[in-house]
Amino acid sequence: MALNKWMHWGIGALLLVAFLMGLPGRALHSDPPFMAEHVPAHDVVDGQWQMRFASDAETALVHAASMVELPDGRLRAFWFAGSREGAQDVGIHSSVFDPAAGAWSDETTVVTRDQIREGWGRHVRKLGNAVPVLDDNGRMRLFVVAVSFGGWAASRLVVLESWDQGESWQFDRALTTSPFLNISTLVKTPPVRFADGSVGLPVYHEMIGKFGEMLRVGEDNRILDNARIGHGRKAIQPLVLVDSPHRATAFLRNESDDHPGMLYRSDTYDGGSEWTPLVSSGLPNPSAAVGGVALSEGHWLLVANCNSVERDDLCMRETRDSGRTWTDRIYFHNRVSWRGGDLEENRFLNMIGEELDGTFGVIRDQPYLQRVEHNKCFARGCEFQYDYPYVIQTSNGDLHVLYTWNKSAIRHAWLPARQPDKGGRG
Amino acid sequence: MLVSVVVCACILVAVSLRLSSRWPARRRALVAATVLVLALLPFPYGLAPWVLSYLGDFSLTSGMLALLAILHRLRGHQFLSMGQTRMACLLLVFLALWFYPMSLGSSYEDPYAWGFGDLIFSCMLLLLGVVAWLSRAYASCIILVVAQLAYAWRLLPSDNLWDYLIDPWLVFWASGWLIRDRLLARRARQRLAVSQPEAASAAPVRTES
Repeated sequence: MALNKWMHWGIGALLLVAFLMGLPGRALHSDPPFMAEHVPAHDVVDGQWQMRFASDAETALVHAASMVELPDGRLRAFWFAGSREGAQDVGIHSSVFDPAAGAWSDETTVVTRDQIREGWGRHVRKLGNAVPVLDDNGRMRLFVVAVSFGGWAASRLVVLESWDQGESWQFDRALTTSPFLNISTLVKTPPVRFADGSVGLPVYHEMIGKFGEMLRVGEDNRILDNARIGHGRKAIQPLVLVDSPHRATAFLRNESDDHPGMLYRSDTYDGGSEWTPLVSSGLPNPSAAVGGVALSEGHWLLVANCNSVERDDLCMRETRDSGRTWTDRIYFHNRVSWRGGDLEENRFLNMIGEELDGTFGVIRDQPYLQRVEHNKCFARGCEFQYDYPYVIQTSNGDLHVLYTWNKSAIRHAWLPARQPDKGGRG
Repeated sequence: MLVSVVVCACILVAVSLRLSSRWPARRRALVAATVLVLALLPFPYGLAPWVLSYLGDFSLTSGMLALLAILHRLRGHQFLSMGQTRMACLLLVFLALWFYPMSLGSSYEDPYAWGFGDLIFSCMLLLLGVVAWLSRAYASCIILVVAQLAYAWRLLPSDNLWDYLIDPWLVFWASGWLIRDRLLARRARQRLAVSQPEAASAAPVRTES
């Protein structure tokens, strides 16, 4: 009887101790504000854009590029590449752009499926999108989509770390982001920063629900918090543009039948803790990824497919009033007139050849043309595809856009804040 | 990571003991030991890393229930009464019916987000623990204590307290247990209904000596 009494009170005390120990420290503190990192620059949008390729057409397929500015002003780009999307030979490829030389380095494979398998101790079937973050201490982190079974809806996120600016990587950990088998979380868009040093990683889910979220990840790659940007089966791939310490806007790729052919939009006014319900942004989009950057408060650029049907154009839009009105500024590509997928092959390849002519450092006998023919020409004809833009503004004010060019190359559009003497081709 | 593999190994051993329940004790112990060793081998040789690759990580609750099941199978002692197990399974299934749809995007409210550090959520767990404690449902209290302490020390790969408390496979098991419980209860009632008329008709018969 006495023993029972002691056990009873002992378990009660244990309950209290466990409650106090399990209480997360941050539960008692308010959430940190955003770091609004706007680069003071003049209106750079009207300059002359230079077009290059970041990839070497080494592999049959390339997709989903991202990039980060290195401390010395160079850029490092990442994308996934292999024989086809979802193939076992897909790895994360990378190259470095030197603005002084105006050239990209040779493409290298920096992360492989086997490398993640060994580090994680779990089976990895295929790799997908990768998004980098450079910390103030020089450490670079790469958030990578890794799939153990099934399709992209079964994706998990893993984090790798690099101390040599992205040349070599060590597996750190897998993030647990969903309560159901930890599947169906992907990344695509650039992260944002918080005042306490944590990183806001926009992610999205594709299984059962299709919706965006923002994970707040600490310096130790632990998830500190998450906030939902939309719900249901509506929208994915949130692009978050930070305006001020407490205000940001997300643009999301439309996956629903509501407002078909339009980008969705959601806003936060409290540093990302709560997001407003999704509304149509009024911007046409064919359910394709969007890139963008906030140049200053309310002054944003969006790069996306600017029609509501196909990915056969790519344009940049500008707003100076937080998205109430938009101006079409530049079309990087506009092949809407040849839509239909039945364009005759010779004519198509001639047009692709013109795009190659407008690309720095490329001559026609390089393998880009063969890659495009392989990826975009079928029995009934050929079609154009320009998608998955990723946009950053570097610390000197330059604008950089990377996107998938006909599934065959990662194309780079560069607008220097100060135009170089040698000029450029648009 | 290591704890995650050990939890998975315990579950695999519990499953193997359940499947071999009709075998002699010595043979079952041998099977359990073999499964344990095979499970704990590192990737790509071990069973647990492959199971975790496909099924995701298990909660500590699953691990503890597996441990209790192993002890029950090997030593014959039932740690949880049928009533307590039934109550826990019902609680789990009802919790899952609310938790998973909400967490997987059916609403703007996301209960899974509470698990990353929410004072109210922790207080609710404390309240649940106190109710269990007052009801002298000590097994539930111990599960809550172990899950919260493990979360404090981040023993599982997840940073979310929910992942220490429940997982989908635990909910599937609870649903299966409840269905089996209902079937057994119905069978018992049918048996009783058959035996009662026989007993009733048997009672008045008297033989004269």
